[in-house]
Amino acid sequence: MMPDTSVYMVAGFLVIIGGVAIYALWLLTRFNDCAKRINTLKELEKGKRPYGE
Amino acid sequence: MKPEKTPRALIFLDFLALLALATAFALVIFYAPFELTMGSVQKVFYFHVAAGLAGMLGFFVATIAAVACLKTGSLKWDVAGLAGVEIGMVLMALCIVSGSIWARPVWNTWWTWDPRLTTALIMELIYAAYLLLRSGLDDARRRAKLAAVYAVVGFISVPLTFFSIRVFRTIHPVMIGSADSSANELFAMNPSMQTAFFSSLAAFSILFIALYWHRYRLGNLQAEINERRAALQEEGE
Repeated sequence: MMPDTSVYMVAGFLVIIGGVAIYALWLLTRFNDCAKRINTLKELEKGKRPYGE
Repeated sequence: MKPEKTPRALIFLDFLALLALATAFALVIFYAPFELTMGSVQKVFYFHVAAGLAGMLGFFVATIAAVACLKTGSLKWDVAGLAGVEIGMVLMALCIVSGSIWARPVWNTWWTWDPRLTTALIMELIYAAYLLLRSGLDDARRRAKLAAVYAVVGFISVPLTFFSIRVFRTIHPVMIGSADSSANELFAMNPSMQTAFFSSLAAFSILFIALYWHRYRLGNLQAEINERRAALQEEGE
C-alpha cells in the first residue's frame, strides 16, 4: 500500500515556490529602494537641496 | 520614478518563467505518476533537483564572471558574479530544505551526514562566506579582485557536490546519468516522469535567467548609488 506522504509533498512545494516568491519580492523591494535613492542623489547633484539635508 | 525602464524582453521573460513554472507544476501534480514506495512526497524531487541544478548554474556563472573580472578588471563583472552567487545560494538553500522535507518520511530523518548532503551544505557555507568577505571590504576594486579569486577557488565545491553521489558511498539517489546498477537506482524514471522532470528543469532554467537579469540590474543600480555618493562626498569636502 502506498504511504500517505502528502503533507510532506505540500510542505516541499510550499518551501520551494514560497521561497522563490519571497526572493522575487525582496529583489523588487530592493530595486525600488535603490531607484528612490538614485532620484534623491540626482536631486542633490542638481543642487535642488543643500548637501547633507 | 524608476531610473531606467524594465526592458520588454525581461518582462516577457518574467511571464515566461511564471508560465513555465505553472506548466511544470501541473505536469508534476497531474501527469507524473505516483511513486509507490514513497507516495506523494516523491513529486517534490522534480522541483528539488531543478532548483539544485539552477543553483549550481548560478555558481558556475559567478565563476565565469570572476574569471572575466580578473582578466579585464571591470567592475561590471563583479556585479555579474555577485548576482550569480546570490541566486545560486537562494536556489541551493531551497534545494537543501526541500530535500530535508523529502528525507523525513523516506529516510525517517530530517538530516543525515551523507556525502551529498554534507558537500551541499559545505558549498552553501562557502558561498555564504563569499558574501561575508565582500561585506568586510570597502574598496570596490579590492573587493572585486578578492571576491573573484574566492569565487574561482570556491567553485571547486560545486563539482565535488555534483559528483559526490558517484564518488562516495551514499544513500542519496543518483538522478542524472546513473549508469551503475547499485541501490541508488531508487528512481527509475518512466517517460511521463521524464516529461515532468525536464519541464521542471526548463522552468527553473528560465526562472534563473529572469532572476539573474533582475539581480544584475539591481547590482548596477547599487554600484551607481555608491559612485554618486562618493562624488557628492568629494564635492562636499
